[in-house]
Amino acid sequence: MGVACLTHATLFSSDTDAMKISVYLLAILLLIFCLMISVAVGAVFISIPAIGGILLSQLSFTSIVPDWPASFATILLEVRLPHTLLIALTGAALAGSGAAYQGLFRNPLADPYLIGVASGAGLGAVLGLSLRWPETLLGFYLIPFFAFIGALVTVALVYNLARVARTVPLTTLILAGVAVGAFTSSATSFLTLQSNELFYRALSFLLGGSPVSGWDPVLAALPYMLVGFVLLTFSGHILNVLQFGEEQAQQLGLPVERAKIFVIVVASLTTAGAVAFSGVIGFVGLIVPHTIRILVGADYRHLIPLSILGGGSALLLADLLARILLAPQSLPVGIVTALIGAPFFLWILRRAKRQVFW
Amino acid sequence: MLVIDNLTVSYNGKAVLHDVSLQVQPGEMFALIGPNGAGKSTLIRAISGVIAPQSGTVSYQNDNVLTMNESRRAHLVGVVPQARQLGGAFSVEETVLLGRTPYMGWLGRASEKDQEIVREALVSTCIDHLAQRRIAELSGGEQQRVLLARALAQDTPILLLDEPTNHLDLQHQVVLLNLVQTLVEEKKLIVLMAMHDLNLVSLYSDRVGLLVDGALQHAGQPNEVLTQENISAAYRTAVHVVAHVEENKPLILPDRKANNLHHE
Repeated sequence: MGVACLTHATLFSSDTDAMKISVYLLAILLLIFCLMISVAVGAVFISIPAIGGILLSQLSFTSIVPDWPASFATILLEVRLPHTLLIALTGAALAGSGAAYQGLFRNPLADPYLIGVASGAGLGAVLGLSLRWPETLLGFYLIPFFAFIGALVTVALVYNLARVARTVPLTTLILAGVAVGAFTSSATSFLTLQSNELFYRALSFLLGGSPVSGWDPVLAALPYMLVGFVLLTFSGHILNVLQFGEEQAQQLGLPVERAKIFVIVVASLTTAGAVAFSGVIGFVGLIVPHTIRILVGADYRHLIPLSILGGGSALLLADLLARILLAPQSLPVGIVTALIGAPFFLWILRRAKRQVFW
Repeated sequence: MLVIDNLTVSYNGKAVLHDVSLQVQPGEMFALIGPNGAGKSTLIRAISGVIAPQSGTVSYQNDNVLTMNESRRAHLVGVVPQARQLGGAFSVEETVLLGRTPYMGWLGRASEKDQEIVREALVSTCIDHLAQRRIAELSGGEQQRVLLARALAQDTPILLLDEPTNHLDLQHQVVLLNLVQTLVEEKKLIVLMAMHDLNLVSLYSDRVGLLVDGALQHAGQPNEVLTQENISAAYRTAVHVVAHVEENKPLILPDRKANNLHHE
């Protein structure tokens, strides 16, 4: 076009694709490593070859002679494996939805816990647990649905309370989130004090521990989370466009209101799946997306799937700490994430103050 | 042809644009001038569909631009906004690629063609050397060129620019306006541009519209609109109009002495 530029230097990097693939590979390897450690470590240590043997011996066409105590198979299949999978799924869901909420609110401190969504999901789940339904299998599958409704109502409430004109400023978001979160937590406690034994189960849940074990919670939460993971990953581009504000997003051709509702529903669905059986676990949705953002940049098309992979690893490691810190007693994992997460949160806060971007 | 017909926009019951009507032809650069708060940005935002007018229509080739969906409108109208909000953590290349949003679908997967168009936009706005830099690290002028590149990548017949030369030094002002002028001539773009600098308006625009208090008071060629009488009245500032040394264009100079007296 014959326009005179003042500088000439082209810097189109073709090796960024290779770099991104290696980041995904690293994230997957880390997750596999964490899954193996989590399954192996506990009151009894089950070696990796033994785990392999037990898993393979489950397949009917293999004939492996066990060289491990018979109880190991039961521990692995009935306790460790479902627990590990639930923890990994929960971490993935919290980190993935955390990244989505941060993009949606254009606010680095949005996290399902801090903005009260997780507490709302918790209230929904406890209401669900309080009904007699959980005793039936169908009831079990309905608990995440109750959590989902709780999460949706809360996020709509917080968003509208925090909204100033067309933006959601940091301070009002946190204030509204804390207020609504305190309200829903108190409502949950109130219900718990009106207690019967079903509610008692709900109390340990609120501390961020899993009140139910075995495969049922994994299977009940899995559909919500898997749908959530796929749709969250699909919403990466929408979130990218939204980073330039709703007005520019609309000028770039994004149906902004529909896109926002889509992301809110999907993130709440994912959060609900996480909270329904694992309780309220804070800060995972904050730490993981930020670490990923520092490592690979702001593109939500990569930030979301990498947060999902990294969230699984992070919560598995926190859970491992929770299990070995006061062994043989195990802490609720929510306590560990808060112990690590709160200082991290403060660091983010200071970083956000210094920088105009995140 | 872009036809704006009797457009009225109100905020909280107070009209900020009254019955604005104007037409811009393909290959024409139309500049909007007027004092602060006259409604220049409001007009641009209304045409781009982000604020709903109380009455009036905006049409392109007999299609109502305001009632079509966002994606279709984004195929027709590209905007270089006054950048208050930028995704600072994005790279220049990622930002310009967002101009391809109307073509990419919900997943944002860029085709070879999308990437080629982004590359061209970066080169033609002279920011290809910044492609991998973060937006937040750029100067105001560089950010302005990123927004222009994004609008060019959008590849629309209509281009709206809101104060595009703000934050730019003289050299970059001229580079940017030369580029827009080239595009207008080569691609027969319809350009509507809000500008403060009356002399740049005089040099570059084909026609000028003078907005005062939300109403289009005068519209026509620079010689017709940029008169001592019109400008002094609209800006409440005494000015001299002098002739350009080479071109037949009016230049506006504020009358320092008269304006001093005015204040006393």
